[in-house]
Amino acid sequence: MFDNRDVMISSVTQHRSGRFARAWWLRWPVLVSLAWWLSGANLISAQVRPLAIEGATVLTGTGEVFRQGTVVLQGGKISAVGRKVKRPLLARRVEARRKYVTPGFIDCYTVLTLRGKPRSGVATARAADAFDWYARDEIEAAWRAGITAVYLPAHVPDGTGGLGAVIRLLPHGSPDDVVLAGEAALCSSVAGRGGALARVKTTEALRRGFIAAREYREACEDYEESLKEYEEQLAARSKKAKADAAKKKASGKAKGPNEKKEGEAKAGKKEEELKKPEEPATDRVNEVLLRVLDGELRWRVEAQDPAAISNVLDIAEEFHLALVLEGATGAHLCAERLAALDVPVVLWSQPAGLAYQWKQGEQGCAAPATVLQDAGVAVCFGSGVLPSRGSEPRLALGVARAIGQGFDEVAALGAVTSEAAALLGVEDEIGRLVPGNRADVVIWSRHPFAPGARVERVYIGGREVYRADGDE
Amino acid sequence: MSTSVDERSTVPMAMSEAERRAMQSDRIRRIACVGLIAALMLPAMGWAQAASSPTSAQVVRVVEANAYVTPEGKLRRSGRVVIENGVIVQVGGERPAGTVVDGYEGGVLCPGLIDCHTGLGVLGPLGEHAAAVQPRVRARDAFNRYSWQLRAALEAGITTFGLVPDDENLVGGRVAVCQTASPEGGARALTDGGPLKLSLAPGVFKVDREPTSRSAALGMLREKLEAVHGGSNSSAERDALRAFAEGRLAGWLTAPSGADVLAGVQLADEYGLRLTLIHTHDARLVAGELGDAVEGVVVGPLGMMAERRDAEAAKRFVEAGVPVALAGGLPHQPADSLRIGACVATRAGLPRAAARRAITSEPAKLLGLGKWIGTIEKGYQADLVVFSGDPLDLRSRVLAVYVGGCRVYVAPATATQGDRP
Repeated sequence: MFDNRDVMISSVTQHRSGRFARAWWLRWPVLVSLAWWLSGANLISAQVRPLAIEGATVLTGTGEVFRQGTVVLQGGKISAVGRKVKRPLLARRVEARRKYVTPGFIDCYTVLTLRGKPRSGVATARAADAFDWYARDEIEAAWRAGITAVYLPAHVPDGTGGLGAVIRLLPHGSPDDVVLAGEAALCSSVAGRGGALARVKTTEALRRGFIAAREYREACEDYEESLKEYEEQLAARSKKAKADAAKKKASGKAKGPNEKKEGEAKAGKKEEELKKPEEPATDRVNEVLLRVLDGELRWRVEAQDPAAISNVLDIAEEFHLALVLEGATGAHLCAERLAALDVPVVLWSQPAGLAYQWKQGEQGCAAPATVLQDAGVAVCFGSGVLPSRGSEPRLALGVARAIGQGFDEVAALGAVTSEAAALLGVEDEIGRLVPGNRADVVIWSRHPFAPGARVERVYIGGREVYRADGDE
Repeated sequence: MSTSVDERSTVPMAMSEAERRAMQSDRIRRIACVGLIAALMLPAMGWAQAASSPTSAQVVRVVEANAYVTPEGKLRRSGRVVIENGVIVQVGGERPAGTVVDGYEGGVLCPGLIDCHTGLGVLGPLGEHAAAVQPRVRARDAFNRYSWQLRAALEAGITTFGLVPDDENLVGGRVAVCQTASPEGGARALTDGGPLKLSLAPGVFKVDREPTSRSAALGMLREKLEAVHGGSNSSAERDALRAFAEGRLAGWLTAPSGADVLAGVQLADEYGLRLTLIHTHDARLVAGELGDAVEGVVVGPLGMMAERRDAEAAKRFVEAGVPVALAGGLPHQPADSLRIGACVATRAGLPRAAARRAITSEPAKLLGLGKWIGTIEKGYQADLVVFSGDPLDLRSRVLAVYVGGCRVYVAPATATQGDRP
């Protein structure tokens, strides 16, 4: 920059006596701006420059609403939110009058962009590794639905799968920016489709898994103990041996060489008896299960019938696990137990067909979200399994439908923003429009649940990643 | 019928065999014609009878809400509808004295939703797959009035639906127009003389019968149409095909791909057919090529996760000036799938008024009942749904449903409202 300025000054002095001398002062702003562009400083400033979204109805995700509010994004984070927020110096302004601003929606269960499935029982397989950063079309479909972050499961059809991940849909971002939680939860599923016997088998396998993990821990602890004991004994023995040696040295002169040999042989025999304990092989699967047992990792289980759900609840109760239920067809039948055990539920936003609902009989429920909410269960939403590759995860529609069935409207927005973030353990990063959180923000043409609402712009980390067609 | 009797009495006794045969075939044709007219009028008569049934007769009922859906599909304030003998006699204006008033605070009056393409309440498959051309088959015969599905659809606001023969036959039979409830209580069929169902879906091409390919299917269809025009195919049982070939009866063609749409347009042009297309997927390619060749397009069903190109289909057709009706696809979709489809299409850019029309007045027109149902206007059958807000807003609930002026469903929470003298 300084070099450029020098050039500028010299060029000005050259021309002072020339043809344009009387207008030199007209020229220098042009030259300064030229130098500015050439130096690349404008590119830096575009990223550093704050961005102020003004005039919109701001729904912060926590239930707070600012009419004609302002959201300021700076350095990839939200720096200010409110009604009377002053626009920072040099801030770029985005006029959003009569529009709505929300935190980026969080899809609590989606298979969007997910490639491949983990092998059964590999609790260390990470969904984060299966995320396809380059599935641009699918990521754009999520943006069009206002989704900026997703929970990707690592499920297998039956039994324990891998580790689910929380991913921000930011292509070309650094891994730290994209993978918010590479190991967010351990995924399992209990499929009710194979009948009661299959369900019981799976449940038993899950229980055995946790018991095996406990035994593994005990074995490890035993080893630690016996190792300690062994080392103590070893130390005691070497001390004794030293003392013996000193004794022998003192009395050695008096005794003959045969006697000395005998004594050495005796000591060697004793040394053999003291065996080093065998270290149990490191088992990474059990170590993951132990993290679940310790409550460090959540245990997310997909269960699609109430019998399977109650089996899973039994295990969670037995081992004191932090359980989250997914899919959860028929969960309304055990709503009270879910509330008592404080187990949140992730419902899939896509409703089942009429004929299928009937097949489910009593397990089918017209308004499961409402029943669960009324019982005091925390409910979040996920787009679930998409019917085809080009399917779009219209999360807002599913939530609007739940509201139509009696789900509380304020809680509904929370269920796809702040509550979802809390469920995924990333509430200090995303899901709320509060200063310090990451600048993942969506501008909607209308209220996100209103008919015809459309996503106009999406910012992730303060960067505009999506703009609707025809929006200038 | 009386004309044909008169004709028979005036036939001279002495007649040559050839003359008599010619006369006979002419008579058969006349009888068939009259029969067809009668068949078309029957549902109207049935409807009139239903409207004047004792449960709704002599009762002037006023339904009041905050807004109503206009024939253009817009929302207008102050919804007041006066119903007499099951028919709307007044929209807006003053409340007549001494009437039963059903008031819905904050409600929106919408014409009863019409899902024009369903298999609701059907026993077994909706098609006979032994032969590819089955103009005689009537979807109505597979209709089960007592199916539980009808109640679920009614509670979601659907008052009328098209029972459409499946996609496995080149000519699948006649569409039936049914109602999920009636002033008498139970479900009913309004007419079995609906459009003729045609299909070019992959299911048509089978290995054990003709046609086995798309070109053979189109060839077969042309052959049948030309047979009608050539007069060699005049048996009474081919009436439906004849009426269709002569442009008197509408046909609905399932056209899964854009190429099928173009084939349909070409056929309609060539033979002067009245054709409605059932098509969603390639709308962005073919919407501009339809022009006035077809009566309309049935789009859907659009699930909540529909692909972008499917979601945009309705918008593309409407922009091209083609009337669009949305299909809900019951019973394989949730009961409120018609509204979900409308919401998906609206989010993809379909104007809201067009979306409201696409689930009320447009399907009524395509089913041939555009002058009877699907609109809140004077003279129309009083099929109404009261929503707690905009019908296009999935947050709104169904508060009540009226069919033929009778309240056939009230949502549990609002049971205390209404019926105040």
